[in-house]
Amino acid sequence: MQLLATLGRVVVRLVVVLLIVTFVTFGMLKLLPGDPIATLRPVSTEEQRDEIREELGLNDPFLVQYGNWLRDFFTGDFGRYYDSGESVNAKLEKSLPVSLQLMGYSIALALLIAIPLGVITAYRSGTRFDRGANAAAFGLLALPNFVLGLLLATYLGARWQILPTQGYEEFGADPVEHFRFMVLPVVALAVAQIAVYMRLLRSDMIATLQENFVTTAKAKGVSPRRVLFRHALRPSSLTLLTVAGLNMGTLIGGAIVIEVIFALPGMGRNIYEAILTSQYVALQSFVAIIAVAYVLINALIDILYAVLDPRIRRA
Amino acid sequence: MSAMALVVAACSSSDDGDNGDGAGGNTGESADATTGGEVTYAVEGDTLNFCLPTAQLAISGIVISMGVYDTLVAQSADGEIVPFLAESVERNDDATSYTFNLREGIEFHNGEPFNAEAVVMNLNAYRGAVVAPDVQDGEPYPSTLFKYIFNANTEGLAQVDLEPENNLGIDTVEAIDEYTVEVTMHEPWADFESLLYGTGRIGMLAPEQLRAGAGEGGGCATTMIGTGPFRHANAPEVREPRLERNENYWREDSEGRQLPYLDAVQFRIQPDTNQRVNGIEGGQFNLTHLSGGEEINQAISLSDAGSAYTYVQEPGFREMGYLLINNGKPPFDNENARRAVFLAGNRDQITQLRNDGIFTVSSGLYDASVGGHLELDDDGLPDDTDRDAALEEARQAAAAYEDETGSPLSFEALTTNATGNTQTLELLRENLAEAGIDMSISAPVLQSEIINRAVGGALGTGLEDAPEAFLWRNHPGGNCSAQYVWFLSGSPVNFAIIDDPEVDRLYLEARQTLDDDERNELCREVNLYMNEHVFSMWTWWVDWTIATDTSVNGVWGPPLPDGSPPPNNMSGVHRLDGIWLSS
Amino acid sequence: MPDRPSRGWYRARQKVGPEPGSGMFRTRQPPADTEEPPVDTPEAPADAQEPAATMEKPLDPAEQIHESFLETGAEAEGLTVDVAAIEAGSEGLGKRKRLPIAAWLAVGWVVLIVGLAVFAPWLPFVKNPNAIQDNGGLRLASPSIDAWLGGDANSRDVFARMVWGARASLMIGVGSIIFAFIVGGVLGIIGGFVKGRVGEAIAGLLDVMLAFPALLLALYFVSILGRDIWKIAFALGIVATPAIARIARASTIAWADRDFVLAARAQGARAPRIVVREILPNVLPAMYSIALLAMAITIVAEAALAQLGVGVIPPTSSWGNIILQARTHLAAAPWLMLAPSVAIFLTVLSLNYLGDVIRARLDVRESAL
Repeated sequence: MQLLATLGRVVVRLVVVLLIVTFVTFGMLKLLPGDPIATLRPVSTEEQRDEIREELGLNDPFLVQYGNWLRDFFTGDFGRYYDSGESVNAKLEKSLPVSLQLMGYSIALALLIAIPLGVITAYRSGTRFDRGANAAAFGLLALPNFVLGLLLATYLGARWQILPTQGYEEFGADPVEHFRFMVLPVVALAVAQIAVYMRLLRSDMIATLQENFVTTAKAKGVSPRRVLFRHALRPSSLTLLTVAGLNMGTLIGGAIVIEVIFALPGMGRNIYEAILTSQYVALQSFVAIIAVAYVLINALIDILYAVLDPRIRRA
Repeated sequence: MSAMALVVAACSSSDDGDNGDGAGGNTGESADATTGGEVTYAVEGDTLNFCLPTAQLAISGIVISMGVYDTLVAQSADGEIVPFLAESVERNDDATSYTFNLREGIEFHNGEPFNAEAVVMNLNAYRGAVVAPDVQDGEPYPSTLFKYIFNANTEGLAQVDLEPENNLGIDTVEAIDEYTVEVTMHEPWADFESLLYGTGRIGMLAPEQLRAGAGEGGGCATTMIGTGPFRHANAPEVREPRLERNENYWREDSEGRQLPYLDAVQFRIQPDTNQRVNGIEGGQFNLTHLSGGEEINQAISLSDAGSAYTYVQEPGFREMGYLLINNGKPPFDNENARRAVFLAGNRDQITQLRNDGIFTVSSGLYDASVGGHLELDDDGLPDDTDRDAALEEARQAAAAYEDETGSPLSFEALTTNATGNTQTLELLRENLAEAGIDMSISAPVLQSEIINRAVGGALGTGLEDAPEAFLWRNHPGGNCSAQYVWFLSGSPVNFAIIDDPEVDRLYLEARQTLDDDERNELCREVNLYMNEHVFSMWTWWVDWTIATDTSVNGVWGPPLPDGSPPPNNMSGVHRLDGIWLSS
Repeated sequence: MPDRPSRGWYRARQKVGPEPGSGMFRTRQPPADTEEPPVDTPEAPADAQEPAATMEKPLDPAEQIHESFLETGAEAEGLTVDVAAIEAGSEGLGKRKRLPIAAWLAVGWVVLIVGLAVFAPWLPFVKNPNAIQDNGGLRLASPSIDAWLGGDANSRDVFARMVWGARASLMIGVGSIIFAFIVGGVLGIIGGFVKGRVGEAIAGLLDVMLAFPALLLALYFVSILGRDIWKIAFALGIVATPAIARIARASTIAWADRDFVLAARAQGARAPRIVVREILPNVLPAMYSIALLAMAITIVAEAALAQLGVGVIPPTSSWGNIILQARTHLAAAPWLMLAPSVAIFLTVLSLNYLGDVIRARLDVRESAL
């Protein structure tokens, strides 16, 4: 069946890409300057360091190291930090939720604002409001998320002291504080997304609003609001979802800088610190996880489209 | 000026902690102290290895270590070394033998008894000797820096084993009875106790922790077990440790209440100084330490406004911030080069700009209350009070250098990524450019890499790779002769690679001199000598500052067991057991 | 209503390519949506006043001419270039409307920045960016007559640092894009033109590179290669290459099946000749149209890398490391943060806008074929 063939192809490509990605990740890290063992034990002799390298398996041939790492990775063992011996899994358990919260809240906030805006501007396309919103969106896209974050931190944080500019509190421990800490970083990440989603939705909806089924609904006397939100919005939601998913890569990159700036203990910050301190193992795992997740998301979207729109021919 | 900022005595009077700049709360003992509560302490960097014999703690680590471990002896706010875990210390007439009478009835956090056997194990670990057949497989403990310090071989670290006949330090360590330890020396060692405190680094570890293995992934680095007021509750996490009250802590306050007062101390890492101060104001942290002028001023504004307490270290025992230069290779093996750079660097301007008017220019190695202190106008350093004259002299010295060596004066300064450091170097670079000296700033590297390369230089194994210059902060005050660790030729931490027989002679004599005045005079001589030869570009005194929110009291705590005042922010060092919270 | 052409129709939708200013390259695109397009779009004429200001519009009848340019682009999973910003309306093509004021402002800003950057060493009102002004007196000083943007923590003139920072940021922007265009362009065209294994392999390689979030990749390369200005440009160029290559490839595939290309083949022209004479001239416009956008992205990327500690090495200033050093003085000297932020904003805005305008013009010209 066409669908199975598509699925099959996607899966095969997925596996190949994953293997290449993990291999390249692993390889690239060997190129990073800095000696993690020297970081570990600055005041030590070369023999002592060699011993440590032996223990950690850093003297084994490259492919052996890669093989071991791959096996560990896919059995869920993400390795340990050289110095503290802390397991990367433990680190992830603490930092992954933070990053997911950051990205999730920003997507949610963005959609919350972008959907009504997109609908309204589509419905009232051509009016001043629409043109204004479009211009604003265009403008906001020109402001990088971390620059916006820093500006917010400068005024709302440092000067007017309205919101905290760094730190994090778990939701379970103190929900109010949790959200207070997340406001600035989430807003910073959300704004550009709002612009993107709004404009996408608008163009999609303008098209949809011309469709027959919409005219029919209108003719049947369905209220404009229902027409907009119940009928017209639906076909567009798929596109929105897709773009939200495709946005992941940008979001992850943006999250790294935002986390560093706002001192959020998320994966982005872990990566940043791991690079600075030559923590190869941890870094491999983090980056591989992100790459794998990203590839999977893209693949999922491919599959979603293949499933949902069989009219599409694939090259 | 005295460095004390609190009322001593056994009476429970409270002190308003006035340290000159910034308001403070109760810092000493108080009858109002309440038990309970938890504080968050923000430190500037992470410590990854708490296996103390093999570690080299920075202030961030020392503060944590103060919570978990106790030392045999301690330093009071007067700079004196007094007994702590040891009940008393006796020394023979020529300081070749020390006898430690230990307190009885103390247990480590894991229940193991603190006794002579434990102390012997610890001392052997620090000095790189065999600890026990089941520790490190009966091999000598892999300490390095402390091995050098406690064996004190005049030629260097490697020679401790290779040429033991040149060891001046510890000869034997023996448990005389269950609570008595005797340590004998090869040569008289007058300031041994000062090094046995090591600014809080020589904590006593439980035998279990020593047995856990100092090697990679070994538990010694990550599971802290001591006799201190708090236990390591979230082992093996050491980056942001959580310390919880040790219910069996051996210390009490003057009213007989058991210490510590707090239930827990949670450490957090926040390298960004701005954010540490913001954190105090915003309530994320209860305490933090600061060592840069701008953030200290920020904290002072906070305390002036009543939303924080700020304790700025007063002159007395301060450490220094400076440009460490490598005297072991070109260009700085040439005295003209050193003079030129010293004079061209505008120390006043750098101190003023980078530290916002808070710090002052230093006069040499020793601060006001430390033996060997020199006054600013008489410190032997090249005279840089008149900028124009200094620049002219710098140009001449640089020209002389070029004549002597055939190449123009230029060097590279290594730096970490910390914004403050790079800005300081940028400033220095501009200063030097005015005299035609070319200084380049390296692409930032990790602190550990700088240390690594500097150690290579000091050991002689990696002189080529050793940095030509880098920003450094060190030499907190105490016993002046103890500084020899940093300057004796062959020392693995002689980063400045000062290989001067006069320096060696003076320090070796000082460490043996029993009479305080004589020792101080020797320190003064070596201080003057090093200044005249410009072995370093001493820049500013660091006024370490402890900033807390207004609920925190007792930051220095009750007097030490012998009645002396506890360390009151000696370069950021203070005890944790006296802290209590007011609502 | 005109009939729909029978070939897989593709509706131009929002450009989902390099998202200007807020992120790095991203070229995945939802595959073609074959719904019926709207034909009667009363909004279209109204919006035609400022075609370049909006990035998407529903297609109107005249725009169908462009469908053949787009459709196979979709199949190749490449980036679709937005054609909606068209001035044509329903009258026809090649009609040049005057540029709106906004475009002139954008041009003005870009010219100003480039001019300042290029001539910085000779401009009398641009002081030495590293010199300590007023013996330290300018430390964190507010903007004034003497120092237009005030002073930074080391008492240096912020305006001078901004101008010299523009040099660094622009060098990185231009350098990286040139690299990406050359390498990416070659890879993409070859990948699109050569069917079979080689084409697939190239596509696969690009896929792998695109499997990493771009900033992470940039962080790697800069960490490995170093932080001199040209090394950063090179690193960012490597990161941008796959995205450019995909566009080139998509565009090549779109054109490679066109009649005139088949005709050339039939006449016996060999591959290189075809590529250079037939394909390249048609692919280039698609690439030009995103050159400015790509530059905007790399300027932002340098600033992001600076925040992560791997930007341009001091004392050389770049907008990124001015922001970095400003972070320690947010409360005391907000203008230190404002100046580079506003500069980046205006520059990215201008480049985006001009990029759109160029795209609109080139597309119109293209469709006249």
